[in-house]
Amino acid sequence: MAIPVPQPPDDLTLLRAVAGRDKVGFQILYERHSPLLFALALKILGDRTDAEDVLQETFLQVWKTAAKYDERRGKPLGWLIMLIRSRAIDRLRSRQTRVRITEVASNEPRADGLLPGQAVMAGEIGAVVRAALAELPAEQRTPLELAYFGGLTQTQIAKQLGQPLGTVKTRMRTGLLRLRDGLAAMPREELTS
Amino acid sequence: MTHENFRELLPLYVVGALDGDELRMFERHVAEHRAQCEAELAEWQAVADQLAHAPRLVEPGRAVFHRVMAEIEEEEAPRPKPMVTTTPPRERVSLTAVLFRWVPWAAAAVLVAMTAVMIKQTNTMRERFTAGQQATTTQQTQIADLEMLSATQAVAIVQQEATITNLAIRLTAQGKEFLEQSELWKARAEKQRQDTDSLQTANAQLVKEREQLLQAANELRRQLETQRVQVAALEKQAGEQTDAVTRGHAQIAALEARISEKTDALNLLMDPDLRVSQLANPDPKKQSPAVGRVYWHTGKKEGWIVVSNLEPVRKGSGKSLELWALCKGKPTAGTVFWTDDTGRGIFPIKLAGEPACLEAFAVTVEPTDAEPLPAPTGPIVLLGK
Repeated sequence: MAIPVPQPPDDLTLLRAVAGRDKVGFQILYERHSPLLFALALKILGDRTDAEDVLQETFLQVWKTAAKYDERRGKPLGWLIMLIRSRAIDRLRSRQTRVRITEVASNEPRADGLLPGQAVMAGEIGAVVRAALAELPAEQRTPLELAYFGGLTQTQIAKQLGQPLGTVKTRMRTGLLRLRDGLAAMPREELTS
Repeated sequence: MTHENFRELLPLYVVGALDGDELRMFERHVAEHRAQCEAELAEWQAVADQLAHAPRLVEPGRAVFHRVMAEIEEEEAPRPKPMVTTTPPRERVSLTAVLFRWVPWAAAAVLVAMTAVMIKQTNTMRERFTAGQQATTTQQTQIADLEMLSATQAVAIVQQEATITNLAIRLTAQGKEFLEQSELWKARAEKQRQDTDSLQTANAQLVKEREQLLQAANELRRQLETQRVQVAALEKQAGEQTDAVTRGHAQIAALEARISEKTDALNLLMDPDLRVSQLANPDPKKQSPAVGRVYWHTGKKEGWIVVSNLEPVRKGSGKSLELWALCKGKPTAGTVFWTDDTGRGIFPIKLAGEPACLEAFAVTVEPTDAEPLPAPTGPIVLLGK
């Protein structure tokens, strides 16, 4: 006899519940996304205490401003990522002692030894993204990571890497285009739901 | 800024790398063309946000969620009202002064005082009791509030438990599905491994067969080369044999022609209408051994001449022998012929015209190697009736 499996509420439903002051929905949303958001904050800040503070602030902001979320501007997870990334980068800039993201990136485990296609089969989004990133040449991957995880602008990246600004821009654009193509194997809904 | 410029800067914008004038122009363009830009912006932002999945997942400490919930509860909870204590200050009484000033009245006073004190204490006790009752009531209210809060939390816990149960069921189902999927993939992998083994075996067999075929092909090539040499030799032999056969055919044809001539001659010789003339050199002084014979069929107007011991007159020598039929001394041209190296010859004969009579035949030597002459010019070497 088949077990009836209740469909879990999607992120949009949960955000609407949170906007209606539903704490259960809020907890489900937290349980679902806090590992990803915390890992992102930890990657940016390099400090567990700071990352937990930012996670706490972010979810308080979610509780207070869920009603302002506009689904036309992107998926709920994208909104959560934007909130925590902004806060983490603000904190990173304010504490003046910037973590060298290049070192963090170089210490990061690479693509799990999986090809992008295998990662898709395994259903592991992170593995897919890591595999796609690992496919990029270092001169394209490094400036992308400096921008996204280090909060550096193109001018700062060019200065840090000692490369012409035009070269950095071209490599970042090419890198992101290739990343998009590399991730095309994963259904968009799975990546951004 | 054109929309093309917007598209070029879009990847840089979504990872937060744009700065300076480019960032300002970009944001102004988006603000002015929101409808046109919004979808592309969202799509590229979604691509950039995939980078957020790159770090390995990390569980935050459980205390973080409790802190979040505590802050939420604190903000939502009504401000507690400060408790008012209504216990009045106790009135102090100096018993020593009363005893020294009013000794006679001491006992009574003491009694009165004690009574008063007792009354006061009774009142105080009553007031304390009342205050205690009020405090109890307040605490009961607080307990009731706490019980309500506890009930609310119990409901929340029940809801959370239900949610957790649902999640557990879903996880169980997903786990089951995952296990089934894993088994399926394992089976497929095993099947692929078996297929690979089979293919490798088949491939090895094919390689072996290919080697054998190559050896067989080389052997056939060698045999073919040998046969080609043999065929060439046979073709050469066949050519030679064909030439021999051709020559044989020519010889046969020549022999058949000669047989035909001989047959004709034999038939002529056996014909009763045949006339035979003996020929010899007309000049006895020369004592020439040359002789000849003409076999002439009077009906068919044809015949044969046979000569021997003549001075050889070979074909191609610029000279020829010509037969003449004589009628009353008038010659009629006949056949031109030649001898072999021994002075022998045999030729069929015909006459160019039809003489009125046929008295004798003569043979002259003529200075020509072609058509017969109309009249004799050379010496007569044979003559006979």
